[in-house]
Amino acid sequence: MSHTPPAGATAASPLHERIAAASGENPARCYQCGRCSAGCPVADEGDCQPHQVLRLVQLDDEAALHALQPWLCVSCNTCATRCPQQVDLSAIMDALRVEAIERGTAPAAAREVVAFNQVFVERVAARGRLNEGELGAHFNLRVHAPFKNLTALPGMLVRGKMRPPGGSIAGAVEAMRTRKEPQQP
Amino acid sequence: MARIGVFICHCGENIARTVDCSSLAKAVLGIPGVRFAVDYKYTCSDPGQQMILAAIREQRLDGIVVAACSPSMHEATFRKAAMIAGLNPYLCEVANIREHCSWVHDDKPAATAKSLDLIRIMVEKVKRNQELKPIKVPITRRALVVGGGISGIQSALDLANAGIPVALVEREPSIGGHMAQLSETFPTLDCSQCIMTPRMVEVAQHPLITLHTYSEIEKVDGYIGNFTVTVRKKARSVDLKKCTGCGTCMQKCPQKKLPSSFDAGLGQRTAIYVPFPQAVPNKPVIDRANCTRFTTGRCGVCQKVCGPGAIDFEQQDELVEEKVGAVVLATGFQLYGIGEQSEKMLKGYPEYGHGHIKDVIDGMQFERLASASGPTAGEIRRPSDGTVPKTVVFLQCVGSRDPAKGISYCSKICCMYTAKHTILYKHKVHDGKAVVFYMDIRAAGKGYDEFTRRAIEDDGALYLRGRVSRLYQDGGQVVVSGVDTLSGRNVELRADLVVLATAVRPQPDARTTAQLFSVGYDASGFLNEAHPKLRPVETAAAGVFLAGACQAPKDIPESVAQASAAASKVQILFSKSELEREPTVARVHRAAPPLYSICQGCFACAGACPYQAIEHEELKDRRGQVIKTVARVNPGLCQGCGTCVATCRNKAVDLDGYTDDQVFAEIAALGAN
Repeated sequence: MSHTPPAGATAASPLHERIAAASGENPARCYQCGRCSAGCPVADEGDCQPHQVLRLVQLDDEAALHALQPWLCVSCNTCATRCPQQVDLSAIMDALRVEAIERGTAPAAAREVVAFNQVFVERVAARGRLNEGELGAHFNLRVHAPFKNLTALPGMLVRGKMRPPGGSIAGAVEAMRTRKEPQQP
Repeated sequence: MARIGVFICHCGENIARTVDCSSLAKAVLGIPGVRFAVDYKYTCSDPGQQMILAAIREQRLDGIVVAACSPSMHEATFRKAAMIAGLNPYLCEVANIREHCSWVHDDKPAATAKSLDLIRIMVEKVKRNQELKPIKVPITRRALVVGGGISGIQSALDLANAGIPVALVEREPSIGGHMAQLSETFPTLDCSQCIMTPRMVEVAQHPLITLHTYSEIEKVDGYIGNFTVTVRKKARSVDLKKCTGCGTCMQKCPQKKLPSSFDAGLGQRTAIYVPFPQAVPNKPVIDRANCTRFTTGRCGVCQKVCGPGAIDFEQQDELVEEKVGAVVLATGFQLYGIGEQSEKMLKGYPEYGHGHIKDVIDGMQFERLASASGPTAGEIRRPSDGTVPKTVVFLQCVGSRDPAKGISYCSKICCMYTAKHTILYKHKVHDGKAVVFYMDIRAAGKGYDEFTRRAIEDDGALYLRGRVSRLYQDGGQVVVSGVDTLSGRNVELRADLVVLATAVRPQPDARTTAQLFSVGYDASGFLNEAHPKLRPVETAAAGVFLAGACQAPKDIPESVAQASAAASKVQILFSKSELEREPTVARVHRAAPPLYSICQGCFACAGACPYQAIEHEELKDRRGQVIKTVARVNPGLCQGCGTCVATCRNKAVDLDGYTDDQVFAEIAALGAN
């Protein structure tokens, strides 16, 4: 990609600069053709379409941080694959989610997605690996619905889809965090 | 002793702002050989030139230096003034104290000192300048047009009607190009063949046009005014003189199911064929790759049934030499073949299924379906099952404006021909539904926007602003999943036929053509004009002109206009009996016997010369015996680049106007300071 996004965007920078810095993508490259929305499996499920989310970023409109669409994105990357301008929209969606969490602007309708994201990261951070049962339990507690989907549990246990919680990989996450990137020659 | 005059220009404020011109004029008088120096506000103006004239005459100057802007700006102006005053124009030099000094510096004393150095350099050069005379080159008053599409035909007819003999070379068996394939043309919907075929016949009948069809350019030698072009006339296997064009051979040919490229693969032809009924010349050719006679050695039916005995299986390619003074390149374009991509930079569109979903076709195939002379006689029928499609979806910008697929430019004609397709379709299928996916409608041109509005308003085409992600076969239909960005909704349509408006691309061998004629080309492979605005039909190669879509995507009116422009440029060139060329060309050393020349004949220069200007010359003594073979520079071809001078080990080559003596004196002038 020819464009180098501004490296040091601050909280006071306009939205497109913050997103460019966080995602490594240049929102200005988008010429609003709509091929991302045309191929997006969840384009019509949210409050606006993927190309419109990107439009809000181009306009520095903070409404992008309140939009539901980024929370519906399943990161299938069809948008990035089809984009004639080679913009990775899923990376931009990622950056929007990160900032929405930081600023607390995620929409109410995305409450469960946000909770799932957080529980997922917390579990991995705590144990260094993921256990589906544990993830489910913590998620249910977080969204105040302790019995949600509980009836599916026995069947899943029988089929081996879910195992009892195992041990943790001691210090694995910390090791990953502190691991030095191999030096590029 | 030299008597040199120096004229220092203020260029308004451009130079005077950072260079102290009046003190510079005084300082210049201190340079040995300078007799006269003056500064003036606008030296290029009429009073400025009069001042130069008067000074040359009154001071009896034998050389002048004008310290002003870049020589590419006004060297010609000042040399002309010198010539009027009776001084050889090549005794006038320009010291560039604007672009090379005042514009790039802000320290006035330093800039003034640098200007003095720049002038000192030029004074030393002028002292050593020789009087040079323009080189006269004779002109062959005959033109070559490469490509027999509408552009080539227009150029050839214009030239021939102006009394200039023309050789027209076309690689296909018939002239006509893409325009002959079209059904009707935007924005007036006149039938393409009806306006095209009379032109084709006119070409065939014109006494001044020599037509070479089924021929390609093999080799180009020479230079402006004097090209020698070798044309390969491919073996047609049919003697054009004997053939009457009766067509019996085609009726009897057993090989009947070959895809017709004229019908964009939708129709079928025989192995001995005429591409289309209105072909010029209307005489067949044998497709040797697919003819049973040539593949297995059996058959030969066409030869048996041919009354005049015109079939000649033994015919060989023939090389013809055409001597011409100018060339018009009108080699045209191809469409982005998204089913079979050969070039690495193009990625194709696997998501559109072109090439394996039968009912996904391109714009040219739709033209053939809509054409009265096409495979369906003008009825819109699906390639898969021959039924009339009730929903046709058109996708614009397939390839074009898609850098991820390798093309960043707009193909310019697709918006208009897609609108035309919807109109033609609605005129033929009244209860049909035409849907267009577009990014922008670019309909700039006389009557063009009205035409696209007509498609939408009068003929009921549904225009959806958005693109399509994927096409796939489902039952007998093609599912189109796209988006309408204006309503912000995804759209899923079931189409009977999908037409892709594929990008206009250069011919696959455009780069080879460019190299043959020493013409530049851009990153896509389109041929480059000499200047994008002011010299749009000229090229970097003198005497070679461009017409039509080989230069960039163009519609028919633009191609015709450019073709006529190219023809008139050729006529301007031919309006003189001799060409005048800049005399700053290389020259190989010659001397009286017994030395003859210090050139040893190694011809390292010939390998280095980018213009093939180095020739072999045999030096003979008075009895006619060859002493040695040495290099000689053809002044008609030499562009004065100086590469040979740098290459020559013996220092046997020198560049007139920029001799080693002059250049070293310039450097020494700087060092002496």
